Amino acid sequence: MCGTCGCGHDHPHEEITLEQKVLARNDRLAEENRALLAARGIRAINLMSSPGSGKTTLLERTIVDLAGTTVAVIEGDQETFLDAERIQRTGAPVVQVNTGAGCHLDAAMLRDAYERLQPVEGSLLFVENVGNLVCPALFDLGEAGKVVIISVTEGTDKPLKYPYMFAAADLVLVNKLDLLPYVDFDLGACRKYVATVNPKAELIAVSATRGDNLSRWYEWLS
Amino acid sequence: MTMHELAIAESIVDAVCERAAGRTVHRVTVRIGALSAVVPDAMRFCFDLACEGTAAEGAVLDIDVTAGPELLVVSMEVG
Repeated sequence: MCGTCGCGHDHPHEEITLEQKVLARNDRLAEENRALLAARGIRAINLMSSPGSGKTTLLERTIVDLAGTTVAVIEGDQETFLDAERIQRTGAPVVQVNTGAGCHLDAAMLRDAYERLQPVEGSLLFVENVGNLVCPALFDLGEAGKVVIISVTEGTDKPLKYPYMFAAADLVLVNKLDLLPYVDFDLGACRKYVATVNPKAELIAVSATRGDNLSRWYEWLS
Repeated sequence: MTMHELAIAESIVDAVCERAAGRTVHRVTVRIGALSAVVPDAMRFCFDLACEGTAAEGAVLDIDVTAGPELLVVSMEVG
């Protein structure tokens, strides 16, 4: 019997020091993805938000408006092919990733989806992450940019409540600007909260349905 | 509970089992920063689940909580 913990073994335990990042493997795979995408001139944009912020509607509109750009899409959801079907109707190549119980995409899932999708060189690749403002922030996919989308029908204080997500963002889009007159959402305060957790992030308020400020979003993408 | 702790627990178990190279893992020490978005209680629950059927089954998890953003596997005991 082991004297340290009574595990039933008669040999002493050995202490091994690892001091390694828990997500080291994901980070390594993400770097491989980043190199692969860069080599093929593909710019991957990771879109993250809570469910219902209008990510898919924004993508549909973006694909139509950027008709001169080759766009491909990876759709992440726990279940169903519904979002992929919506994107398919725009004519853009798309693959759906179903994560089942999982609440985020990781670098291995992105690689697998990329191999299935085989986007053409020079594409703009949108990755619609699973609707969730917590977990996706932790998992680097190898993307070129992270975009966080909130909508005016959510609380103004979302950036303070989910600081990890907003801290990770390169760009924050505030969607559903067309509904602003009907809801209690303070755009100025929201902008201040975003700056508090992430002074470097740009913020653009848009309406994916009415088209407000989408030209600024397209400028950011280019 | 958000399920990213399960994915993270699986990453921890993968890392220690790989390094243990067939030996049994008895104890794992991790460092979880308060800014890492990982909740220690959820991690304990998920760690036990992730260990099932691996060389780390039944291993004790020690969590060293710090103030920063780090998320590290610090050390382990094998035997």
